[in-house]
Amino acid sequence: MKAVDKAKFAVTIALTSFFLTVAAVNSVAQRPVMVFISSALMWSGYLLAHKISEGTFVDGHEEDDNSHMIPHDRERWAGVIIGSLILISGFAVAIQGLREESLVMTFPAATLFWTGYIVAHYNATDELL
Amino acid sequence: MSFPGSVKSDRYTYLLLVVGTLLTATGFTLSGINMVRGSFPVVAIGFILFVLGYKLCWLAAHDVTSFNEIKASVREVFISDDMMRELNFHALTATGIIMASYGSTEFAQTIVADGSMNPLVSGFIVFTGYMVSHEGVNRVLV
Repeated sequence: MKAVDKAKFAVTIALTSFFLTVAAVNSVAQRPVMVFISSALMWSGYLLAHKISEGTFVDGHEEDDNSHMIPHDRERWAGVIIGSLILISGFAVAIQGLREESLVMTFPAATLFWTGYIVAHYNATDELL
Repeated sequence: MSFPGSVKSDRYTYLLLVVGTLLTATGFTLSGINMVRGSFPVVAIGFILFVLGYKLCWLAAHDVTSFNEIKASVREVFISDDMMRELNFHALTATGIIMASYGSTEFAQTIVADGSMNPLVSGFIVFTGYMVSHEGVNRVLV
């Protein structure tokens, strides 16, 4: 990936994490219109980041291609597990921020969530998203 | 941003992406609002809508050029040459959705009520459920 695309990807993932934060805080606050708007923006951010890094809006594997079903070797499994642990740690970090309905306190948790997702996805498929 | 293919292909790509995104956002809203209320079945319905929205966006990414191709692709979900294999994947999708719905509802209850599940445990159930249903929907773990 070119440096400029790396920068675009990082900014898009940061925005996607921000909109996840807004969606989560507004879910706790029971504001459905805000959840809808921020979810649509988060999903658009995900699609855009996918387009920047992989060239397509979502995963491009054909349905009959079983070669990517599960990781083949120990290193890849380790990477998937490490990514999963980073993602799951986001849940624990989110608790206090969500209780206080704080965007600032919840944002690091959303960033952990997406970082872990990218690490797990890259190790499973060689693609960032 | 430019898309490959003809103007007609671009129009379907945009249409599928917009409808898919609206379905996805509707699903997230239903799930997010109702995991806080503790309504597990509605959370699951929200995740089902998310999967349908995801699948529409997936079709958009695969150069679907006509409405007939969309119909054929949807029909393949229900009628296939290898029904047992397809049913196994649908079972994975359903199992994953139930796990993710349960985990996220328990997680929300630790925030707003007296839920006692450790967030690392509920997070584990949510992401494992995500991977199980992703295997069912997309034939790949994440």
